[in-house]
Amino acid sequence: MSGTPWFLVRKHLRVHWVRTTLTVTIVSVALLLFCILTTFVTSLTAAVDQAASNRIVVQSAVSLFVELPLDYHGKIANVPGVESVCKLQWFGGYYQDEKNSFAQFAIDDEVFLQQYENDLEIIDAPPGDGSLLDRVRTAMRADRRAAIVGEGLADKHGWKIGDPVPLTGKIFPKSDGSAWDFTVVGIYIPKRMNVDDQTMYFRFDYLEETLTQEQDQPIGCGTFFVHVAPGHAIDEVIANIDALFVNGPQKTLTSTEAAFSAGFVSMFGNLPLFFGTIGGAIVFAVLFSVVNTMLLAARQRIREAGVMKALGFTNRTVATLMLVESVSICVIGGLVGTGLAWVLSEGIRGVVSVMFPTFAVAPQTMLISLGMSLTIGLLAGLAPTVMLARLKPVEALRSEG
Amino acid sequence: MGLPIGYSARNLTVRRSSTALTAIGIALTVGVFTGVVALYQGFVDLYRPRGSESAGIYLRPGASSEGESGVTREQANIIIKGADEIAKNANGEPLAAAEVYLAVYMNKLSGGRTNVPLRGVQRMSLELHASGNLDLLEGQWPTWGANEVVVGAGITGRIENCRVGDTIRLNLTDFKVVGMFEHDGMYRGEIWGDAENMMTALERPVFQRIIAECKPGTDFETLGATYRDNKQTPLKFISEREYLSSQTTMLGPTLLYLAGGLIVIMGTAAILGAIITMLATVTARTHEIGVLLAIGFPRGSVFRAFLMESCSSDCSVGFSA
Amino acid sequence: MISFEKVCKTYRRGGEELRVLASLDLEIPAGDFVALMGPSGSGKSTILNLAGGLDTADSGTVSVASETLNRMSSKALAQWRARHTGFVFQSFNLIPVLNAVENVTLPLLNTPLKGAERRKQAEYALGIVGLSDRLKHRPAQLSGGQEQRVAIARAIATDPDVILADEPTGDLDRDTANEVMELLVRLNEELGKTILMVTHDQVAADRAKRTLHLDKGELADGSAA
Repeated sequence: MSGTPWFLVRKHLRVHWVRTTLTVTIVSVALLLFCILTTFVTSLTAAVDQAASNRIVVQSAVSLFVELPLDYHGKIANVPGVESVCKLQWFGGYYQDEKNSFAQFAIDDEVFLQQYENDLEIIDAPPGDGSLLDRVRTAMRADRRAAIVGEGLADKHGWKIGDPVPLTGKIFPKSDGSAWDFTVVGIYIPKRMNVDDQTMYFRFDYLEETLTQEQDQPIGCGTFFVHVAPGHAIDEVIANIDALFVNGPQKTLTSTEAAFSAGFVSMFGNLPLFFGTIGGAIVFAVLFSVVNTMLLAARQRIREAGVMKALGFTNRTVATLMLVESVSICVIGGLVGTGLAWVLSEGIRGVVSVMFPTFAVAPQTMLISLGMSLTIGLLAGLAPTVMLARLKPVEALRSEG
Repeated sequence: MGLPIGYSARNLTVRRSSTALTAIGIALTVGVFTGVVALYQGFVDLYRPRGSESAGIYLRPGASSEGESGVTREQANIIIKGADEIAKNANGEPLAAAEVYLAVYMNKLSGGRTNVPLRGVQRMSLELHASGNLDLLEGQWPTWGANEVVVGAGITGRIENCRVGDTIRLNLTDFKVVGMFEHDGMYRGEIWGDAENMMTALERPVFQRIIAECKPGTDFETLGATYRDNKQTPLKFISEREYLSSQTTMLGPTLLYLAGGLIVIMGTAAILGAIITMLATVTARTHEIGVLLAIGFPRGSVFRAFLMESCSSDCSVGFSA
Repeated sequence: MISFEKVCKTYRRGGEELRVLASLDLEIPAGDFVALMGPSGSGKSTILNLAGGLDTADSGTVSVASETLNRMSSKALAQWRARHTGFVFQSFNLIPVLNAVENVTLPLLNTPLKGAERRKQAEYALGIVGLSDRLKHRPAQLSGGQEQRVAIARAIATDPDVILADEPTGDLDRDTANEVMELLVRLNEELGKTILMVTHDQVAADRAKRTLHLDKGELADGSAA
């Protein structure tokens, strides 16, 4: 066999352009949907997958919304194997309008910057000597109201280093109704997916001091992020911390960062399953449409296949052309759909950043999507290919159409 | 001259394999469409106005949900005993209750942890929520002042320790489950107990909200402004209906775009799928159409026979899907 | 060139056995032009298919261009067809998505010719059938006679030893049929092609060098041996 008439594939695709266009469109729509749905799920689970392995989280065993007494900080720090403890308290405020809600956490600035050294990277800091990180560290120490913000958040609101950011507290309102004042001293980008770029971190002592002046009830903290020193068994440290507080005043629930994040994922309930079902059904439905189309294409080509065989083309060549046609339609659809998902990813993220701040189509997702388009093409092309290969030339030439 | 209906029926059986494929294709299309409609319905349902227009909710200023709110005992006393807008029941008692709210960790029967809303209620709460067909299905209401709870019917089969006779541990205190209740609204997914006992067990010194039945003609907007500027009891005062709709709008944009996008994409896929399937059927049979026309059947009757065939296969499959 | 020895062929149609050829002997020398006539079901198309390697005999020997076709694999048979045969069909059987020159180029893909040479050869073949001005036309844009001439160009493009024609004038009017027959005669006389043609058309058959009459799988007159 010295030549395979590949141009026949191109001719068929062009002459039956309605069918080609429809099939390419439906495959691309299905894979666009697949990519987007998968990305919703992976952006939820990314925080679990990419959690730091030596970080554990202490929270109330009763509820995420119950605060732990502040003196737990020292008690946890004394547990053998604990390297550092960072307070982390959800602030729940908004900027100018309630629609501009985003995540804000009050943290122990020095410990936080050290614990998250491998998770986020400072990309902008006040002018001065030393590395960006050093300058941010100094600036945070110097100003009680200092805050660092994610790049996405800073871009959305146009914040620069030195800009004041007033936030109205919903959980911690000021008694006179005024806003809390913060100053941007650093902008970061995530290095790992357990951090997103839509968050603001500020000094816990600013929150603590202000609340102490304002109200008479004791101040607490929602979570303590603990780093375990190398060489210590994580499980043991977790058990030792929980054992400290088994008789109260607040029982604690200590878990790895991965398990803590998984708890948030489970708050979304059956979303992964729901998305998976939709995605699966669509891909399946599309597969059948394409199978149907390819069977039709093959049926219309029976006589042509007979002629080809009479002209001396082998069964294999005739069958290969059919399979290549099916695969190329689907792969083109896959490229279009996956490409579209990639292009739209940024826009979608802007819309859903409150719930899915790390929304971005992962390379693996795109690869799987392209692999699926290839698989659909092969599966859809299988039956027609076998049919055309087995066809006896005499019968093929006798058929209509 | 019309083509006999038998023609369509015979065709469905003769072309069994291609009919089967078409049928499966259409079934999946219908399935996807059903999904789209279900999604749309669910969404419409989410935005359906609910909650009483005459019930008023008092929250901390700035709080947009119970979880973020806090109402002190003093404030609760002042409002419940003294607020003019609150209606009275037959015994002359104010129709108002201060409630505690907290989402607590509980274990699912299927494994894993989830958040279950816990509500500390007062005696008057039962009368206030009666409008939503509040109904005790099993056991009894908690004894006031005792560590007892009732569970909503929506969580009994889902969450551990939520049958009558079980014990639920809140931090260091055991609460006995003494009853199960049903309610039309979201309360069926909650656990209720005496507010005072819950505040003690959870060491939470404040209520999360006050809910009250307001006198007819209460102007929520004007009164809301008055409460906001009140120095003694600064509160956010809104109707229950507005409160519940604001809970949905909080999810609003994200969910709206998400569902909208899904509906559009799935709808497109379904329509394209149907077009492709029909295109395949018709193209595969252009020869047959030609023959029918050549024999002398009028165009209209051929068209009708095809339409009938596609409808009957679509319908039968649609029903089974 | 074509030789059948005690060839039997039986078809099975819905449980019934239909014996088409029973021990048929046939000899067609190189350069001959044979018209095969006979009523429907007499087995003339079967002979054509066997000679063209599109079908295989149940027993007996079919030799064409000094090769025995009986025991060839389907792949070997396909390659043999590419080298030695050219087909002309009643309904032309051009590939509708390809234009005239592309249709003629198609069989050349099975030869060692390079792209440009294939193109030249195809244009040459179209020149022989007198369609040099219709290279880019698709089958739907050609008349029946032109289509059949493109088909003949396709059949001779690879310079095969044998041309097998199945009712080549069946779908054509008298004048066009005459043109096509004229072309076949020229291929036989000028290019020395061996032609086996099945036909119902006595006028067409008269243009061949000799006519064989087939009835119920047997040759009616003794001209076969």
